[in-house]
Parts: sequence; structure tokens; C-alpha cells
Amino acid sequence: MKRRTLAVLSARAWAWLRAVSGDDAYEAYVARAARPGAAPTRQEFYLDRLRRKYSRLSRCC
Amino acid sequence: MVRAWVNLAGVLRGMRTALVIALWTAIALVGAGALASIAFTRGEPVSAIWFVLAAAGTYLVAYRFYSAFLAARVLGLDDTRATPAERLDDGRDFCPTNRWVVIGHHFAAIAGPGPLVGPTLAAQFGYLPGTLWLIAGAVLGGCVQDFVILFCSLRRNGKSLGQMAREEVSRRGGMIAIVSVLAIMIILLAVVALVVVNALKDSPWAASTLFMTIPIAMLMGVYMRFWRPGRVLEASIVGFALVLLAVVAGQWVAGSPQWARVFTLSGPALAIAIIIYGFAASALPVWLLLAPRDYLSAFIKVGAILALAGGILVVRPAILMPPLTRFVDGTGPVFAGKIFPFCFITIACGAVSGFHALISSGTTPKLLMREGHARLVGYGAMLMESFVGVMAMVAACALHPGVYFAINSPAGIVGATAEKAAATISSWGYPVDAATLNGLAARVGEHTLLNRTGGAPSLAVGMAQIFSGTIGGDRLLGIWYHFAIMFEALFILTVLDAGTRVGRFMVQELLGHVYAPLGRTSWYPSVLVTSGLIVAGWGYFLYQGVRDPLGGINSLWPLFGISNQLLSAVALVVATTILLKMGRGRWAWVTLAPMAWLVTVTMTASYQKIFHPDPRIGFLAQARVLGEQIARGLLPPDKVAQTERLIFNNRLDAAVTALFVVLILILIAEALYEWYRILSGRKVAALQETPHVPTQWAEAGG
Repeated sequence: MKRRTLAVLSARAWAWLRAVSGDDAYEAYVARAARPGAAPTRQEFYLDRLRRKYSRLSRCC
Repeated sequence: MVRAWVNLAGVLRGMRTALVIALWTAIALVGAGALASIAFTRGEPVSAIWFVLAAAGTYLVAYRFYSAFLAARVLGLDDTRATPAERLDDGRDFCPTNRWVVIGHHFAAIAGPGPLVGPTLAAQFGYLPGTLWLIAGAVLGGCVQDFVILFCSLRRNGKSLGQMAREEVSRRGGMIAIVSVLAIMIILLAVVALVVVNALKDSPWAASTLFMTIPIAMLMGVYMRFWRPGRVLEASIVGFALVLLAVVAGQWVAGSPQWARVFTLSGPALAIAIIIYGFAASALPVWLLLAPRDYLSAFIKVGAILALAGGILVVRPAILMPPLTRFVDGTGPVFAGKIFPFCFITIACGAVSGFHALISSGTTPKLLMREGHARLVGYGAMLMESFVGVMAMVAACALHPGVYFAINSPAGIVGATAEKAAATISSWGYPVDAATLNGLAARVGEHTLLNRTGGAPSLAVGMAQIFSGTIGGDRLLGIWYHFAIMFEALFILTVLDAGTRVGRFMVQELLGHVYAPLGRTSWYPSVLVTSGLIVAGWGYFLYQGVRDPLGGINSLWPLFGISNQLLSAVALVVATTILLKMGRGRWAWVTLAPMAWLVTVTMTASYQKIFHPDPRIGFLAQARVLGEQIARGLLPPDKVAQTERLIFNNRLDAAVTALFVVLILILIAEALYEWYRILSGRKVAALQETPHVPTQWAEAGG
């Protein structure tokens, strides 16, 4: 029981870390995208994401 | 029988309510008791644990009650209303995201060097005023601002503060917001760069470690771009290990006579290096340097903050700084000026930060799945930021006051040798001797810690003491010190990169109105010209700060604090206007009161910075004193040109301060006129909210 709780908790923490860092962004995009047109490759998606993120204020004092 | 069960259920419910009330009463009492113990203890060192309890107790009560009141009564958060993320979902900019992930993003975006540096500098007044303002300012001001602006932007498809100012207050309001953001950014980048310069000058260990983070970041960049696209975590783990190695290797660099010479850099040399670096980081593709460095610094930032919190709980350092020092009278060596208004101006971001309004009206509102989540993200993330400020205050105040003043005072005030500094500081009533100062420097692996103004080195010594009290003891003090310096410098440089780049886009947008091709963000000549303009802007103030005999921080940090708090006043003016238009005038005091306070503080501080007769406080007085020195022929001929430059710089600082004041006064006058017309019924309050669209989601996610 305890081991199971620990496993669930660590899986959740890992999923959270991946989501916050953007590590899973591509998978999440592909999984949700039922959009017309070809999905971008992993590399294209990554570069597009960076371009968007660093074109506006993303860090503060 | 049935009746008995109903009775039992009622009794159980009643017991549960009673337990909840008892729990919150206990939390409130612990918080209040801890606050009382840090406020009223005299003559013996207070334990840091009381700071943690006082802050945590206040935050919990404020979050549970005040933010709930704001959410339900003042703003009327409505979970049946579809958020922009639901309606406009494009998987990229607008993207429904779990609220715990959003708060992670939001906190990473708002947490910068401000809440570390500000409280460290404000510790010169003693631990009490700064700590109280960090806590009270956050729960009543900063958190409210972040939360309300996030809500306003959420109801307007994620519009920016500038757009909201234009649409809700006045057409000029938008322009004022954009110009002040650009000006603040330039001052901010200059002052944080100055903090890095002061931490790295004449320190081969720190300089070589930070230098090594550039190739490490580039390696990560290539990894995430070509080898394993988008694998952020893998690259960050590799990068983190390499950075730790660089911290350790720094001592070998410092130990080798040849290499130590290469990395022993003077202030001006470092300033030029950082200016060149900032230009390169803005003009190079983001994947190569800016993005990987940002990932690395975000990891180290969160890790270091958690480690500091853990260290404070384990070590429970005694607070050696007195609650109030004699420098509340305005004669402080770290920066000049009385406790009012300069304590509040100096703390800035840890309590209230105008910059946060830009994040709250930027990415964050485009991610929230429910309006109700704005409470956790807007109010909650700022509580965490305030807690970082309290921890920085603890780390700084756990130092011996004599050591604290020796590190943070410029040479022009305490002298440049350990003997002189020890004598001066001891004469103020904070006894310290030269052997202690030299010994501490040797233990952290530095030649000297004297005159390292800017807050970062004294915070690093405080953090190193706490960390080494947990792991490694005195043996690892040097490693921990340089780890802390690297951590601060790394994420200051990230702010520098990202800020320069965003500043470049803003300038391009403005210049695009004059000559269209300059507005094209991918046209290389324009990239070079506009990057150059932004870098020249902050580079000028940085260089001026490095050459300033009073240490630069004395003039630049208050300038930054004033501009930041003024931006916050802008945000609160916008928020108040929107509340009035929503017909919530009854509750408008929630934003009006902090706004009135910030306007009072910033106007007083600006007036003093410009006109105060004390040359250490007033820019014009300083210019006058220097002018008299030249006129009387007191200076050797070779110093005259330099002094004339100083006079010009002081006048420039006065002009920049005056510009901020004029801008905000125009905005307030326009807002007051708008409020008068709305409240007197002369104008129909036209709220620019998007219409209510019911959510398609069955229940609140995340």
C-alpha cells in the first residue's frame, strides 16, 4: 500500500516536472492536435516554441 | 432510528467545522506569536525559525481568507465562464494547462534577482522593517496586484497591461505603460548587471565559473536543437552536472597563477565583457545560448531556493543583526536615505513588483483552465516570491552585522583595507576586526570580501554558512559560497539576455512606426541596430555605476526601485478603474489603498532623489558639490574630465527620475478624471470584457 502511494506520488511529481519544464510539450501537442495539416516535427515544434517564448517578456526581476 | 442518524451526521459536521475553526485559529495564533517574537525581542539573537513561522502563518491566513474574499466578493471569479485557454485553444499560445503547472511557470517567470538583492540591501536598517514590509506588502499589495491584473487580463483574452491601460483608462495610458516598461527595463538590466560585476570583480574563481556556463549552455543548446530535439530535462541534468563541476574547478583556476591572472578582472573590464555578452545573446539565435541558459538557471534557481528553505529549517541560524540599526536616520553606508521611503523602495519586488503585472497579463492568462485558478496562481505565486525575500533577509541578517557592513559598503565610505574598514565599522557600534574579515575571505576562497556592494556576495556568504551548516561544514564553505554566487549571477544573466531581447522587440515595434523595415524582427540590420540601442542603454548606466565612487548601487538601485514601484502604481490604477467600471466601487479600496501607498512612497523617494540637499541622496546636490570642487580648483587636472562626466550622470539620473514621475502623474490625473465621470454618472462605464461564454467542460480540472 505504502509503496504504491509512493509510486503514484513520484509519477505525479515526474509528470509535473516534465510539464513545467516543457519537456513533454511536443507529446502533449501531438496528442491533443486533431488539427488539419501535417503536424510539425519535434525539432520544428521546439524551435517555434522557443521563438514564441522569447519574443515576449518571460523573465522578470 | 433515522432521526438518530441525521442527528449524528449533524453532530459530525459540527465537529468538523469546529476542528477547522480550531485549526485556523491555531495557525493565526502561531503566526501572530512568531511575529510578536521577532518584533519585540530585544538584546538577544532571535532564531530564524520565527521568521519562517511568522511568514508562513501570515501567508496561510491571508490566502485562506483575504484571497477568498477577493475571489468571491471583489472580482466574482466565475467557473462557469470559459477561459481564453478553452475558447481560443491553439495548442501553442493558448493552451489549457493544469493549475499546478501554471503556477510553476508563473513562479519561474516572476522570481528574479530582485527579492534576493532588495532585502539584503534593506537589512542595513535592521531585520525588522524589511521583514514586516516583505510580509505585509505582499499580502495586501503585491499579491493583490498580481491576482487582480491576472483576472482582468483573463477576462480580456489575455491582453497586455499596456492594451488594458489604453482601452480602460485613456489612449495615452497605453503609451505611458510602454514607455515606462522600456525605461524600467533599461535601469533594471543595468543594476542587475552591476550586481554581477561587483560579485565577480577580482575573483578568478567566481569569474571562471560563470564564464564556463557559456560553453555549457551552448552545448545544451546544440543537444536540444540537433541531437535530442526538445529534451529539456535530459539536457538540463547534463548541464547542471557540468555547472557543479565548473564551480569545483573554479578553485583550481584560482589556485593556478597563470589562469588566475586571466580571470582576475577589474570592474570596468567585467562591465565591458557583460555588455559584449548581452549584445551577442540578443543577436544570436535563441536556441544556442538564451534558451538553454534559461532552462539551466530555472532549475538551479528552484533548487537553490528549496535548499535555502531546507537549510534554514535544519540549521535555524541565529539572527545577529539588531531589529533596528542606527541607519534608519538615513546615513546608512549601503545606500543613503531614511527608512521612509527608502526601505520600501529598496525591498521592491519581494513585496510589490510592477513587473509582475506584465507576466500576469502575458503568458499566464492564456493557460488557465478556470477563472477560479487565478487565485492560486496570481495570489499564491506572489506569496512564494515574498517568502524568497524573507529567506534572503534571514541569510543576510544571520551574518555578523560588522561583516555585513564590511561586504556591502563602498570603499569611499569604509575604506579599502580590512584594518580601515574594521575600525570604521566598529566605531559605528558593530564590532569587527580585520583578522575576522580576512579570515572569512580566506575561508570562502577569496582575496577579499570588502566593498562588494550589490547584495549578492553578502547573500552568498549567508547562504554558504547555512548550507555548510547542513552539509560539509567549514571545509565546503568555499564551494558553497561560489555555488551561491554562480546561482545568483547565472540567473541575473538570464534576466539580462531575455530582457535585452524583449527590449529589442519593443524598440523594433516603436521604430517600425518610423521606418517599416526596422520593425521586422528577422531583418538582420534591424536586429543589430536595435540590439545595439538596448545594450547601449543599459550598458551606459552599468558603466556609469562601475565608475561611480559611491559604488553605483547607491544611485541605481533606488532608481530601479522607484521605477518598479511606479509601474506597480500604473497596474493598480488600471485595476481600480476596471473595478469601478464593474460596479465594484465598494471594494475598490483593495487596489486603491496599495496604490495610494505606492504613490506616496515613490513620490517622496523621487523628490528626495532629485532635490535632497545631502549629496549622497540628491542627484542634483551631488552634481552641485562636484561642480564646486571643479570651480574651486580642488581637483587635479586629470580628474576634471571624469568629474564632469559624473556631474552629467547625476543630472541624467535626476532627469530619468523626473520622467518617471511626470508619466505616472499624467496617468493618475487621467484616471481620476475617468473615475469622476464614471462615479458621477457623466459617462457610461464601458467595460471592455469579452462576453460570457459558458464552459463546455463538465467539472473543474486540475
